[in-house]
Amino acid sequence: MRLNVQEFLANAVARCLNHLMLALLPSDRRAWGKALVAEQHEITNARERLTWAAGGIFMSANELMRTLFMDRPTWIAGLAFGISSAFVDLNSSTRWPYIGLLFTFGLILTSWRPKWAWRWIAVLGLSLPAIVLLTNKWGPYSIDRFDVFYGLVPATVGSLAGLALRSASRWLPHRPAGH
Amino acid sequence: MSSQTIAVLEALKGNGHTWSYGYDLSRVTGLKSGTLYPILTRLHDEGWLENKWEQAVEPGRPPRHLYRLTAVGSSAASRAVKTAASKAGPRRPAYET
Repeated sequence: MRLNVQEFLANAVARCLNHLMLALLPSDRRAWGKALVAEQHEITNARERLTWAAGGIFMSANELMRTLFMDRPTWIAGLAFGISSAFVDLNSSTRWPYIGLLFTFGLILTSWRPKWAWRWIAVLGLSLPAIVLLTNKWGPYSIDRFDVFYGLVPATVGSLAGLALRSASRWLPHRPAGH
Repeated sequence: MSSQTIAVLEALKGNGHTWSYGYDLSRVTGLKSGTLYPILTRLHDEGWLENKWEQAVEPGRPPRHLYRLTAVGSSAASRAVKTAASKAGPRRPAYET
């Protein structure tokens, strides 16, 4: 009876891990996840089946990291934009240049690379907090330190505008090639 | 190339033109699914591996994925295995007990 309970639990956990793995995998890799799940039906030992399912999580984490960091030029551009915007903000008497820069850079990056646009929002909006934390020079943010994260707002709005721009460009009439 | 990738290539090469299942490859190489499948994916991306789905014989079971080396993969695998063997050099004999 105890063995059956253990097996039941192991199967339930394996099923949960399979669902999680398939949800985490990028769509172009989902067939590989399904292939990994299909092999579990050939494994008779419940513990081994569970280990096999856990391996699937490792695979999807691996794939997730690969997809997350695969667009290196955009990452570098995002970092450069974020750092330069942060320096402008720290040396400016108003917030408008920073807001304008983050909006523009968010728009450019997202309309250039719309896949997982939250990456560009994060790199743009978190560059200033990172610099301030690393240098420990809070400048205009020494009174309200949480205010340093406000750059995430214009970066998000800029990215949404970039996505809208990209969607709108699909609806515009295209001139046929060669004319 | 990692020793795990070499092990997968050797296993696939050992099967020749026969298709292999993922679980069988795991048993032959001793690799866990989390290591094996990223390697298979990468080999497929490189064009070294071809795959196909096989409908399950038993009802209620999902189709299984099968793998074998392509012609390009087979020759590249031979080179990779040879290079790995030459890099490893002669193996030191085990201590006598």
